[in-house]
Parts: sequence; structure tokens; C-alpha cells
Amino acid sequence: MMIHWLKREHRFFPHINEFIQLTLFCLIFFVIINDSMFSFFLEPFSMGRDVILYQRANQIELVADHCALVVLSTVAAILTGVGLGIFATRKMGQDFEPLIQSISSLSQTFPPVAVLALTVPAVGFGFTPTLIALFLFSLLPILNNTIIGIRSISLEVLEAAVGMGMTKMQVLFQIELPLSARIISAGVRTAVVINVGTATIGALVGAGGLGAPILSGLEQNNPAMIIQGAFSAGFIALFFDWFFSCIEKRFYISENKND
Amino acid sequence: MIQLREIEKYYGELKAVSNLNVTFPKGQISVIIGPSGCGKTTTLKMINLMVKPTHGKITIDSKDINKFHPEKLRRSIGYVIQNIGLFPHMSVSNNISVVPRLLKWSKHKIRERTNELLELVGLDSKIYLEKYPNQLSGGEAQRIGVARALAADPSILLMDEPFGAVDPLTREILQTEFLEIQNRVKKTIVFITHDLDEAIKLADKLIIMKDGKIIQDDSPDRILTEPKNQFIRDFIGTDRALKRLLRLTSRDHMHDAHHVDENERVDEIVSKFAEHPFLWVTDSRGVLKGWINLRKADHKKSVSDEMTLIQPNTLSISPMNTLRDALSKMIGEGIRSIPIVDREHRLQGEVTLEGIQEVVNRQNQI
Ligand SMILES: Nc1ncnc2c1ncn2[C@@H]1O[C@H](COP(=O)(O)OP(=O)(O)OP(=O)(O)O)[C@@H](O)[C@H]1O
Ligand SMILES: [Mg+2]
Repeated sequence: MMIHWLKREHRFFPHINEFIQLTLFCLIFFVIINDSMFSFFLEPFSMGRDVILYQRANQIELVADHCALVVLSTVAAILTGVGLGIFATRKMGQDFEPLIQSISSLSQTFPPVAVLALTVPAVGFGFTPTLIALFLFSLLPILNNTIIGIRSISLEVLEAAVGMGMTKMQVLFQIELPLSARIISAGVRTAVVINVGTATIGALVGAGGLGAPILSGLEQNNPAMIIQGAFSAGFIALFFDWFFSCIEKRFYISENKND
Repeated sequence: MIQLREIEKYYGELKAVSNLNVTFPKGQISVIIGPSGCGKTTTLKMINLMVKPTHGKITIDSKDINKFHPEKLRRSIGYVIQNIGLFPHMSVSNNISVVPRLLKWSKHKIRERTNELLELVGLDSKIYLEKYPNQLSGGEAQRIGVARALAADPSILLMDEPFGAVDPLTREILQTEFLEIQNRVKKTIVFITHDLDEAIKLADKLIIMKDGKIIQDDSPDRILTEPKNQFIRDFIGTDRALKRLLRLTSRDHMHDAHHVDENERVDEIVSKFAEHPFLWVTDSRGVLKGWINLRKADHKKSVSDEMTLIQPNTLSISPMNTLRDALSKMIGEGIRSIPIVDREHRLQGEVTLEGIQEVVNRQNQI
């Protein structure tokens, strides 16, 4: 019945499913950033302690710091990754492609903790080294997908575009990027989801974010605090995943345009 | 008019074409044909500056093409690429309007032109405008490819196997429509094909290539009657007489067809058509309905009771069809004459086996 109703409604309000999902996300988000409500839910895990939530910052600050880390690093990685990807697929950048690829995959083979350990002496403790580590980490999926996306466009389509009289810029913005947008966006989605999890290690060098309650919880042996950080981070990861899946659906898909 | 002078193109060590001297006359269809890899596409792409010749000079209306801005030149030349290459992320209407949009036409003008073009290539704009390329059949996609090339009304059209990916029947329809369009628009067309029948049917000028060189370059009739060497003779095969029928349209060789109105009574007309007992039957508007053999008909009845029905588009051909189409249909159906009908299925005339025989005899005497 319910499904039937939803399907019928579809015609008039095509995004109703996404709307319902968004409402759900907002509800949970509201609980998470509200300290008193969140502590009510976490109370059973505190094993009788007085302290339920992390004390040195409230949830809003923790979530905001965490999101700032993720968003800033990802935006930087998108600009760099897509930019390098476009460069590597131009005629003049072709020679650099192997170099670009190997540098970016090298950055991913370094564990984030090691990157932190290396950057802290250079830029000091806090937000910045974490940002750098996250940036390096999300570069590879975005760069890779940009190159794959652009390379997967059929030769005929590109030839037609040039033959119709498009300039190089027009080919890039009207053909190559729209046709690879879905693959690039899938790379961004992977990068963001990994970053939300990886950002928790920022707490090790004092970057704040949702790693802080997890660390404290581990030190004080307080499961409520661990759950506070882990659940919030997990939720944010889910949200970003959902958000980008919605964006992806808007882009051209090579198999089927009917959905 | 497009002229190629002493053109040579190397890809590294590989000589793709050499010693090309050819003229593509204004307002005519020049067809290039030859085995795979002989340099047809390379020749075509040099005309719109997508490939740069290693040597030689290309002029359009006596102007060196290197003097043009490449993008501007390409926007002024329609181009149907081998394998169509529609933009998969754009709707049919956006695919067709690519060049007009590059030329910054007004929205209104673009919309009008798109509808006009869809109609020109025989597709219903209501159905097709918002479709995407992956929702089209091969034949529909090729029509859209042609419409896209015609969009900005270029005077030159480069077509690289535009009807390659469709079945023979659809191809024949597309060719016939293409000739009708060309009769109206009179573009300078360079057309590449693998299909000799297609080449002979469409070409005002036929260019046969092999290994990057032009072997013979002449009117199809001349090539069929005076093949230059053994390669050409082998290439055009032994059925030259039949091939020449491809050059002749039914319109030019049809006779008046004896026909009666379906509402007449058999006994009233039987004396009038004593010499021609076999008649086509039309309705009051002249639309072909069927045929009747007066010898076998019941004289007391009306023509419509006694006739044999013909389904539209089965036992008839259009005035633009070639005599070879007519002949093969007659042989296929085991009949001695075939009715010619226009788009509204109105009877225009007929082509008979004897008529074709006469044409062939006359040709052989010249
Ligand atoms: N970009 C290129 N780089 C190197 N060699 C090429 C290139 N394009 C074409 N060639 C070669 O040049 C020759 C002529 O190619 P071309 O595409 O003009 O042939 P064609 O006559 O169009 O063949 P087909 O009928 O198969 O389309 C072929 O041997 C081909 O391999
Ligand atoms: Mg070719």
C-alpha cells in the first residue's frame, strides 16, 4: 500500500524519497548536536559514571570541527585532483600522467598517522597537519576517477565535438566534464567517506573533532564517550554518502537514462 | 567548390594518402569509395582541418583553408562522423542544436530550426525532441546525425559513412530521402561509403580510391561504362548493366498507369478497357487501393468488391526509387508492372518490365 502510494506520488513530487530521507537525517542530526538529548540516549552506556559526554567541548563544536576538517580537505582535494586530472588528459599534460599518478598513489600508501607524524614537525600541532593528511589521502580517488572518467569517453564523441567546431574549452566543459561527472563524483564520495573516518585521528595531534571524545573515552574507559564520537562520525559519513549519491543520480549515466 | 591539390598525408612513417588531386563541385554529391584503410576518412578530415596534410593545398571557393580559423571553419561545414557520435548526455534537441548554440543563435530560432530539421529527416518532433541517444534505433540515430550536421544550414556537408549502421531496407529509405533533401537544399557534399550500390545511386561524381591514391574519378556512368583498369573492373563487378539501373529513378521512367475508380461497376468499364484487363484501382482522391483483373471479375459487381487489396507500402514504390528497386521488387513479387505512388499513396504511374528492358536496350546502343 505504502509503496503504491509513493509510486503514484512520484509523478507530482519526483524527489519525495530523497525528501523523506533528508528529514530523517535532520532529525538524527538534531539529536546529535543537542548535548542533553544525546546524553539521554548514551546514559545506558556510561556504566554508572556521572560523566556521560566529553566535557571539554560540546557536540556542536566537535561536529563543526570535524565537518570543517572533512569539507576543507575535500574541497582542496577536488580542486587539485580534478585540476591535475584535466591537465593529465590534455595533450600537453600527457607526459606528466605517469608522474602525477605515481605521486598520488604514493600519498595514499602512507598511513595517515605517518603523514601526521611527518607534518607535525613542519607545521606544528593542531588543525593544519590533519588537514594536510586528509587532503593527501583524498587526492588519489578523485584524481584517479577524473582521469578514468575523461579517458572513458568514446573517441567518436570527442571527434564529433571537435568536428562541430567546439573550442578546447567547450569540449572540456560541454562534453568531457559532463560525461565524466558521475565517475568523478563517485571518487569524491569515496574520498569524503574515508575522510570522515580518518579525521578522527586528528585528535592525536589536537585537531579537535569527533576523535577527541573517542580518545578520552578510551583513556577513561568510558564506552558512552567512545560511542559519542564513533556514532556521530558514522552518522556524518552516512550523511555524506547519501548526499553524494543524490548528486550522482543527477549526472549522466552511461547505461540508462530512464530512471 | 572544394579543391585538393597535391595532397599528401603521413602518419609517422605510414603514408595514408598521397598525390591527391581532386575537385568536389559546388552543389553536387561527390562520393568517395574504396577498401577499408585506403584513406577516405583521412581525406575528409583534412577538409575541415581535423587532420593537417603533410603536403599540399586545400581550397574552398579558391580560398586556402589555412586562412580560416579552425573552429569557425568547422562550424560552417556540416560533419557526419563515421559511427555517428551523438553526444550521449544530451537530448536529441540539444544534439541537433549544438552548432547553432555555438553560433549563439536565439533560443526561439534554435527551437524552430530543430523542429524543422526533425521534420526534414522524417522524425516526429513531439516524440523525439526529448529522447536521449541510447533510446534511439540505429536508423533514428543516423537521421539525427544528419540533422545535426545540417543544423546551421552549412553549404558544405562532409558525410563519413552516414548510413553504415542500418539494415539494407532502412538504408535504401534513408538514401532516397537523402536524395530528396539534396534536390531541395543543393549542398556541396563529400560522401564516403563502402557500399558500391549506394555510391552509384547517390553520386554526381564518383571517386574510387585504393592505398591512399585516387584510381578513377568521374561520373558514375562513365566509370560503369569505361572502367579505367582491371582494379576498377573488379571493383564494380560483372553486373554493370544492373548497376546502371541504380542511376535511373522511377519518376523519370514511369508510364501512365491504367486505373479505375473503386466505385465504378465492372460491366460499365469492361468495354472501355478491353485492351487492358489488368487495372490499378484508386479511390476518389486517387489513392491506390488495389488491382483488378477484368477478365476474372464478376461483371455484375462493383470494382471495390472484385479488386485485390494492396497494403500501403508493400506492392508499390516511390518516384524517387531507382529502376533497380523497381526491378527487384517485380522479380521478387513475380509481377510485370509496379505502381508508383507519392507520399500520400496517390497513384502517379507505373514501371513495367518491358519499360525497363527498353531503357537498357537504349543505353546499350549509345
Ligand atoms: N590518427 C592516426 N594515426 C595513425 N594512423 C592513422 C590515423 N588515422 C588513420 N590512420 C591510418 O591511415 C590509413 C587510412 O585511414 P582512414 O581512416 O583514412 O581509412 P578509411 O579509408 O577511412 O578506412 P575505413 O573505410 O575503414 O573507415 C589507415 O591505414 C589507418 O590505419
Ligand atoms: Mg573511415
